[in-house]
Amino acid sequence: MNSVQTLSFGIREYLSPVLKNSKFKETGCITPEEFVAAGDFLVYKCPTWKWESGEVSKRRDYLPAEKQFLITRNVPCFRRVKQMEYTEEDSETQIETENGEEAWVATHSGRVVANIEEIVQQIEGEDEEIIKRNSIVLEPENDKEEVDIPNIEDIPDIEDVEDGLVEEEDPATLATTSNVVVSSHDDGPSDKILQVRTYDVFITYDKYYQTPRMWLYGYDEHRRPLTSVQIFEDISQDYAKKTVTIETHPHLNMSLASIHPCRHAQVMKKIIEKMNEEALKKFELLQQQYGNSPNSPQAEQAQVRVDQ
Amino acid sequence: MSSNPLLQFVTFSSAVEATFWHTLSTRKIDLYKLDDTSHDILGYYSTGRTVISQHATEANISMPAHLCLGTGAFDDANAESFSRLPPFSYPSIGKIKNTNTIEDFKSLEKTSLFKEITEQIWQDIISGEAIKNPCLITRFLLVTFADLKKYKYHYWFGFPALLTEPPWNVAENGQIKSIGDSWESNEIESFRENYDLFRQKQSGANAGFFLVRKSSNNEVMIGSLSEWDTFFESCNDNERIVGFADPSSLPMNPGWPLRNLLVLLQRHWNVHKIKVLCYREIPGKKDISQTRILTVEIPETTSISDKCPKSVGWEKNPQGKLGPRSADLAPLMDPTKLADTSV
Repeated sequence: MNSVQTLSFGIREYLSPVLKNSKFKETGCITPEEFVAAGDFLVYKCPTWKWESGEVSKRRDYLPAEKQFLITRNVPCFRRVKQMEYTEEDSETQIETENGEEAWVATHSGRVVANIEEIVQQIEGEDEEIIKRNSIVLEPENDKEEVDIPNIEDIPDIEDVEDGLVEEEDPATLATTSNVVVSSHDDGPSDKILQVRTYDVFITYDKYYQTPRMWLYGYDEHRRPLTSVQIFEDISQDYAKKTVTIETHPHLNMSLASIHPCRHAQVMKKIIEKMNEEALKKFELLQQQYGNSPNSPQAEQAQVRVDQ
Repeated sequence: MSSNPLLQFVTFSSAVEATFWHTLSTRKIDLYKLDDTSHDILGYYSTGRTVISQHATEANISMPAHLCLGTGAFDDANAESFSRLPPFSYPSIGKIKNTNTIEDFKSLEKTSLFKEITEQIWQDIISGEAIKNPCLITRFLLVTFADLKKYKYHYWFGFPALLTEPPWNVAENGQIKSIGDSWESNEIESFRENYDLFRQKQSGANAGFFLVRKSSNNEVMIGSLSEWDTFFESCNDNERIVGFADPSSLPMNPGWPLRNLLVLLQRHWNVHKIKVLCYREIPGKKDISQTRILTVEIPETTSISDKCPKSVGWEKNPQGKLGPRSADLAPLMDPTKLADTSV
């Protein structure tokens, strides 16, 4: 699924207007200026993304000081692998019946089957979708382990401190259990607060490969950082330690999971070709599909993009 | 009035970014060394968010009310550092006490530290400082011990909320409505636009708490707390609305910041009943449909003395008990462990 991710971000770049006269179309590579322009476009379209400057000592002079890399924080990750597989099939069937067309095969590798709607959805900035569809999900078993078996070292600490502190009973505080808060009300299904895994997602510019590069930093339900082992468990074994590796962030003193950019350019090039052939047709279909509904950001964005 | 249900608030859930721990380590080594005095830190929160289920059978999923600490947490709290906070977030100023040893961490007088912050909030309310600078009422406490050799961090957050006796009720038999059920769509649109303008004009510190009233031509006006007297001059009591950026995402429960706001209102303007707008947006989507509106009240006879009220708000640990949490960053910071995973 990582390729889809790569694709989605690639398309973001592709569609941003300044890239027209670059060698991007021939090679799939971008210049730092194009990276900044594409990032500006992303921030404009999806304002949950933000430019950051990172560590001063690690600043790259070919990028503006305040625009070293992009970040979006606290992206929730709701579903577990099993649920997600179901959803994936679910949505695909839907699309096939609606469009009457076969899903779109996205890459040369043949590992990933994506359809344009999925990609548009990702472009559209539904960040949780990106995560959801990228298999960055822990197995439920691991989950449980994390919750039920706290680090053995911690137990005495916690109990020691606990003794010293008592808090007033307060009826105005909504009672919480460790994982889920359920609020009762009459209409419809009950709402609950779900402590979910969250991710910080970074996009940096990789000078060597001349492409953007994706980084992921995950936290468990209790905001404890996920370990690299946990992260590799989350990532499809096709990619773990191959396409996705743990490396040092170019602008932060921190190591995190990254999608290796060595094939970004190639993939991008493929996409461009595919886009040229199929994009217009597909976007038109989308527009028809959503054109009548007032709440159709996809259609709106598709329109903007096709115009460009 | 006795039939009105009690208003229950959703607590903050702490959310510390890994880069914060890294910055803390660096500062501990290079700057603080063995000095363990408290320092100001800058946190932030965003409005609550519910993911509406696509299937009728599934429950909607609400995100916790996160209070976050990031890389910029050690910057001075000023307009410039506020502007560096993530988009659509609101600042919250806290105090960090980082101990030198795990023993210090355990034996620390946490209750008195918590009380200190409570006092600060109370003083800012009494002096009126909190009216000019409302983010002061969301002050929080963080006690930490950083085990630098093991890249392990023990921490405990406290979010003091002043207690009112008796607690606030939800008036009108506990009705809490969505903005769409309470207002006309042109009013909602007018509110959204005016609030956006208000937020741009204010420094980040003041945008999280505001006043709302409807003008005669269906426009919805926004004002800052310091404008209370002039802003509500022509209003009846029941036309006054006070709004706040609400980190809670539950339909029937507002978030923690409202607690101290209500104390502030009661103290300064003798408010015993008021309409509250719990502002919740989907960032970047111009969608505020999850915003809730309710009326809260306490008995007219309730008065508030000069004495600092009691407070609650220690965060519970993952086991659901009062106790510290810990974050283990060794896998992603320890050079020896990193070597194992590199390819």
